Amino acid sequence: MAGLDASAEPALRVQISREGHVPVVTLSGELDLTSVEEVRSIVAAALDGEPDRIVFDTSALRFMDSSGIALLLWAAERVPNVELRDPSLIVQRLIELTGLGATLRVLK
Amino acid sequence: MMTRRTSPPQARNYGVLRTVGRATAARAKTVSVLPAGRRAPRRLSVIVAAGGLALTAVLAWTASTANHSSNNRLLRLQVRQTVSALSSALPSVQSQLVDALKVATATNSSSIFKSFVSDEAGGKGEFTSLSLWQRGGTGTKLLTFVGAEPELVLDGAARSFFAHVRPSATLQVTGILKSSSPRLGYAEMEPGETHYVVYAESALPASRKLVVPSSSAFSDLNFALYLGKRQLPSQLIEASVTTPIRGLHAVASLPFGNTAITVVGTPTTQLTGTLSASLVWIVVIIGAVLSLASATTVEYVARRRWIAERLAEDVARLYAEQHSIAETLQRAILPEQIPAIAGMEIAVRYLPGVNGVDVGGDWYDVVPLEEGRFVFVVGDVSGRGVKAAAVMASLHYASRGFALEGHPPEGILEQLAKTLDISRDEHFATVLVGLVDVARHQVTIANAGHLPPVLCSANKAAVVPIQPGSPIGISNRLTVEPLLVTVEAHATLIAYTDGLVERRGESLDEGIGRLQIAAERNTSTLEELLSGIVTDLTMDAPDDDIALIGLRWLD
Repeated sequence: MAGLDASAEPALRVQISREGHVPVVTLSGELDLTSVEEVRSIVAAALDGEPDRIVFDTSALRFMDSSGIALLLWAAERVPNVELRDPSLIVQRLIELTGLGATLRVLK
Repeated sequence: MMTRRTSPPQARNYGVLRTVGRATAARAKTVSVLPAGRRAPRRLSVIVAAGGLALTAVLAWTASTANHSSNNRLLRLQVRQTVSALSSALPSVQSQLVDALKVATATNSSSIFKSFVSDEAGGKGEFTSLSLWQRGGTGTKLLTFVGAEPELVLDGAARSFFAHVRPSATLQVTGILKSSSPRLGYAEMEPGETHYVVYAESALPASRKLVVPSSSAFSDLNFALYLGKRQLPSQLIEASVTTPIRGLHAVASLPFGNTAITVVGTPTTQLTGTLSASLVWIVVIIGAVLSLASATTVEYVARRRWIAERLAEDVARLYAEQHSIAETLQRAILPEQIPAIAGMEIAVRYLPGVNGVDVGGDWYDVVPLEEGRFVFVVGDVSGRGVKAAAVMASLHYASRGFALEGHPPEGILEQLAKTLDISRDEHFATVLVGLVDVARHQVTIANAGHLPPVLCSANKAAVVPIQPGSPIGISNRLTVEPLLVTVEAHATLIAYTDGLVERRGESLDEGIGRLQIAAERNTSTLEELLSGIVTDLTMDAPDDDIALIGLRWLD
């Protein structure tokens, strides 16, 4: 229930934009178990056009745990190419330590 | 020597020991709570209704009393006005008799008297009968009369009446004379007079019916007029209503000769007006409606709140029970007793996180093999809840089986990868497997996406530089590179799940750095070291679950 604590600003902000047919999901704040389902439903809506690529911009992500990894792997099940754009050091190290560098394309 | 730490009491709001039986009871209760159809009203609603009705009653009583009091006051006022109007009409009766007496005294002639008063009695005259009497030694004799013959003569009561007539400034009244047509008689004998008495009679209406004209100022009242100060039925002069008057009435008297006239008045209508009279009922109706409406509103709000509270309690209870089922499952799978390994000290910790009510899928295991070797496993299934715990259980037992079959660490992981598919099972897992040869001080480590262990020897802690393969569940064709590590005497290897080192706003490397510092502390036993690490790295209750295993070579 800790994630439901009434903090003034939302712990996570999600923004969807498009570069051609490619959805770009910009995440800022903290991506964890309490916020991941909301992002998953937003991303699911963005996958309606069956794009062959999706970009996650995680440069402004201050925190991500294994639920974030699960989200990215969930996207990788549905889209041939999942790209991480400008991941913050926190995200970058999480990807490296989880051995997912090959599964998720990281663009610096 | 091997212990497990249970969750601290403040870290969990929900009872760990709840049973499935209690969950069933709670659900049964939920069902009984929701159809809140017919129930006795709440005490508060009853108080509101009672209070409102009591206030209404007081207001109605006040309005009624005020109306009654005003009505009474107006009645008394009108009766007094009636008396005053009457008293201004009475003196003319006496003055006519006085004038007639003066004529008789001055002329000593009954014929002059008769012609003087001829217009005043009978026919259009004011009196029914007007007569002149002379007082002598033998009594008082009738000399002459105009109009009807005096009833007093017919009655035969003249002697006793005149015996009491004295010269006086006041009119002397007979009382009501009984006859077929009742009359009222009055005699006038001026002070100083010795001979003559003038006597008159007025007929009363046969039915004693008094008609108050509707145009009169007193048309709102019914009256009864009595001769004398008391309301004797025999002395009723006339009345506009059945006598005696009962209910609301007012009484006033006015002097009439040597007696008095008593006026009794009773209202025919509300003297205060219809609005004032209806006010009581208006207050009663509006008050009752408002009271009941308030009570109904209070009841509605209270009931809604009660239902909401019950629902919230039930939701919390169901969450707690759901959580406790998952936790029960997890605790059933995690080994209570770590097998003892000769030449090694092994300690473990499991701490449930507080982030969310579902448990995670963290686990550890130690599998003894032959020839002084054993396999240790630390793993973390993504996500939470019963499903994650079930996936954890299958990976836990599968890894134990592959270890017992003699697979090397990388082989165990490659076999595990064939059992889990994220697209089918919705979960993936990070797993670290190590094969320890106790006597040779060697550890072969393989890593599927898990955080690297920390090795501490001679009070210096270092991260084991093991490259991670991808996690279990991503692909069934996993390839991982094992790493052979040779450790010094009394070295300590610590493997853990991410809940121990991750913290908001910092990279995992910083958390691992804190773990290294905590692992370098001087402690006599491995148990103390793990307790110290948990205390140092989890400032308060951890968000995520934590599994932790420590291996120390005894030589």
